[in-house]
Amino acid sequence: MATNPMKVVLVDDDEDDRMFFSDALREIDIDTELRQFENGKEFLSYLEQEGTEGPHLIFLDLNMPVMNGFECLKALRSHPDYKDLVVAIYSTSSSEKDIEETFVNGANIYINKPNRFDELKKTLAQVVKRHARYRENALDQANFLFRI
Amino acid sequence: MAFLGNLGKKKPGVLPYVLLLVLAVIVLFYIAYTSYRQNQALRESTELVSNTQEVINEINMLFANYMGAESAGVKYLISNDSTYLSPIQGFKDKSTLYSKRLANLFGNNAEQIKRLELVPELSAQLFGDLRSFEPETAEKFLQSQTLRDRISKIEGYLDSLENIKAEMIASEYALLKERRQAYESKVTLTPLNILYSSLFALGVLMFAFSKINSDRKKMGATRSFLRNILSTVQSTISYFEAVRNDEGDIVDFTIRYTNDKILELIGKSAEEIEGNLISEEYPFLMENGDFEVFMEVITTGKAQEVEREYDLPNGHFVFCNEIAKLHDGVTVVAQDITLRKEAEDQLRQTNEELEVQNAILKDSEVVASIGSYTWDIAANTIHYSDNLYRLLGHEPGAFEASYKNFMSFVHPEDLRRLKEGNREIFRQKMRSERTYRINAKGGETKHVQSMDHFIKKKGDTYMVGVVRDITSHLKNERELVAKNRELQRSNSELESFNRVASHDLQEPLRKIQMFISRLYEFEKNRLSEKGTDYLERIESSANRMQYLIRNLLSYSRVADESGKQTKVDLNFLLEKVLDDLSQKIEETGAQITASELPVVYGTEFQLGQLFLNLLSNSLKYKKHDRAPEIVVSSEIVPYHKVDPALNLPRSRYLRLTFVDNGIGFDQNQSHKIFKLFERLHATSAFSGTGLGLAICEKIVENHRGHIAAFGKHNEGARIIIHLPHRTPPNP
Repeated sequence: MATNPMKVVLVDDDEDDRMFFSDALREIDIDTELRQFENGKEFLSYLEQEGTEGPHLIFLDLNMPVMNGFECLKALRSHPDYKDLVVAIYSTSSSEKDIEETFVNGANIYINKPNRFDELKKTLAQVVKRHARYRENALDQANFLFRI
Repeated sequence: MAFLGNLGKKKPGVLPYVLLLVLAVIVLFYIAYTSYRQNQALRESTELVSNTQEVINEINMLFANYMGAESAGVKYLISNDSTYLSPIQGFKDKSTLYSKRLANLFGNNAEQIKRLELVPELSAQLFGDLRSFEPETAEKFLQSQTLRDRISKIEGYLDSLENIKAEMIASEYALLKERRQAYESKVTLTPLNILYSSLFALGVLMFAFSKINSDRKKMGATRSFLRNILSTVQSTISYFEAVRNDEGDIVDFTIRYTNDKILELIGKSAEEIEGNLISEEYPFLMENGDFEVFMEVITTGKAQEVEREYDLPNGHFVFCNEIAKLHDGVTVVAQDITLRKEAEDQLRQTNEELEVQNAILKDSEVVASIGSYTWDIAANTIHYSDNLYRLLGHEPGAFEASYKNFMSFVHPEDLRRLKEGNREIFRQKMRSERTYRINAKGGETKHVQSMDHFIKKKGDTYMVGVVRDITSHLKNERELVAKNRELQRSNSELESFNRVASHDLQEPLRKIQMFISRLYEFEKNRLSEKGTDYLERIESSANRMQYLIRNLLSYSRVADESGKQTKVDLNFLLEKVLDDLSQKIEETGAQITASELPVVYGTEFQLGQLFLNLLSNSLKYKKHDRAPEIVVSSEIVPYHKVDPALNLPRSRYLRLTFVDNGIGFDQNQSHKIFKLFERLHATSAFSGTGLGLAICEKIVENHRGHIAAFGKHNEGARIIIHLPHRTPPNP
């Protein structure tokens, strides 16, 4: 596990949120490697440029300029190479409509951005740890579906 | 069935035929009697005739002796043969004998007897002279004058005798003639007359007999026809014979006849009651006035018709009775008019209703701005309703109702279209609905909608239609469209506000909270006591703001989305809400009891929110020294048991009641507590946004119900919710 850190991607236009996220992720006792993008387009072009294997876990904000989370999610799911990537929506919106729509479009996890740092930490730990278990046991990622 | 022609009409009767018969019998009797009499007379006459013949015979015999004797004498004289003289004595003896016999035969015929009395004397002289002849004298005799004288004397006697004989015979013939006349005078009828009379009498007999016989046959046919009628007729026909007391007053009636119909009425056959008294079989007739009517009919002889109701063993009936006198009794023809009566009543009622409805229709035409017309196409006559005239700006009946006159009101721009449409619907006789404009009197342009169709009534086709003034309707519609557009605009504004509230407002707030938590974490040990206090207050304010935003969001969401109505089990819903509140319940030690709740149709998340808000209110506004007690109950009530001032639609309602023992509120504040941001309590004492009950009200309104709060300061609150209740169909 230590030899192979979990590759985590955060796509969020908000600088403060990115800061909170990276701080929280660092404090979790699991080896992770975080890459950050400001919008969906940036992230997609990164995927294409690298040509390497995709990240293990993608946190995707919904409300972003240039390419928002919905568009990005649809683009990922319609691409044969990326359609199996695990996507966690990470948004302020608690609207049922948004939640439903993202799940319908193939999101695995829906996370409401917490308003306390310790909550954020707790949530991230939960997601990351659960994902790690799935990876170890090579479980079907399609069943990896929950909301926090 | 030729005899039926005579039925019920005045008939000549049997009397003439009986008279004819009697006449024939009399004639026959007369003929028999006269025949007998004539026969008798004939026999008598025949006897007399033969008697006369005998008498004449005797006379001839008597006088033949004299002739014989004379001729013998003469022969002697001529022949001088004395043997001729010897028979004379025999003639004399015989003449005496015949004379006696004749006298007997004459009996009491004095005339003849008188003549007969002359005979003996002449006979004696004749025989005396003849005896005086002597054989020796015969010769002389012939020469002697004396002899000649004597012969002439003998001849003289003989002549006298001959005369007497002639007289006698003449007398007898006269007698015979007289008798024949007498006989003929007695024979009044000749045999031919008798034959004719007999034939006539026989003819009369046969005619009368055949007449009577045919009458009898006709009577038989008529009787069976009558019997047939009596048994098949729908009326009950009876004949009651009067029963009179010693004074001759009618005291009762005997049922002499009734037809089989009676079985259906009283359950007894005609045979069972015939011969009985009406006081036994129909005692009610003695009391309901029928008995008096019968007596009156018998007294006056005038038939009467009476309608009356009867309670008979087989039901309640209404009869129309026709009572007529017949001999010393009455015939009663009772027609069952029960159904007709009912039909009449119903018809009358229907008519009354129709009149009312007509009046209502006229009023409603005015109220609804409707006019109507009926067009009899065959007769080409149109009838406008009063309000159609008014619609055209005229007084009812102000001008002649005609197609042309109506079309003259139509707006020129719509005229062609309407006329073409009329041609089409006339051709196809179809139902139509058109909208056009009319120029009413006074220049006002009205928009009207007409609905026309064709009906057939007794073979004639009518075009009927309704013309409705839709001017204000159209105006309202246009306004409504404008308002709707405005509403849509404000709705989309609200949507964007929602977005702002849900995301853009929460976003910075969340960050503030995040930074506070970071700051607190990092600087906890470095902050002064005051700094820590301030930081805590900032956090509390930020939390409160977040809570406020969330509530506002949920309020606008409830207002915005009516949500999908599904079957919701309120018991299950309550359980879920109590589960969500479990921590709070535990903290406060609340007792929450709920009766069995029904399954309703509604939006589940909204009803959940409603329960949550109400229960958390009760938990929140508790008395500081007492654990909350909350009772949830439900019942189904009809609409009229709900406050009529609410003007709720007619339906059954589910009444949900939430009662708590909290701090309550003043009743005069009750209308305020459902308002947005309205809070009855100081912020510091109770946390709240003033949105909870506003959301509740919104939810109840979304479900077309009503919510009301009742309370008393420090004595708890009672929230009553009425929701339209429809029983979900069984799955």
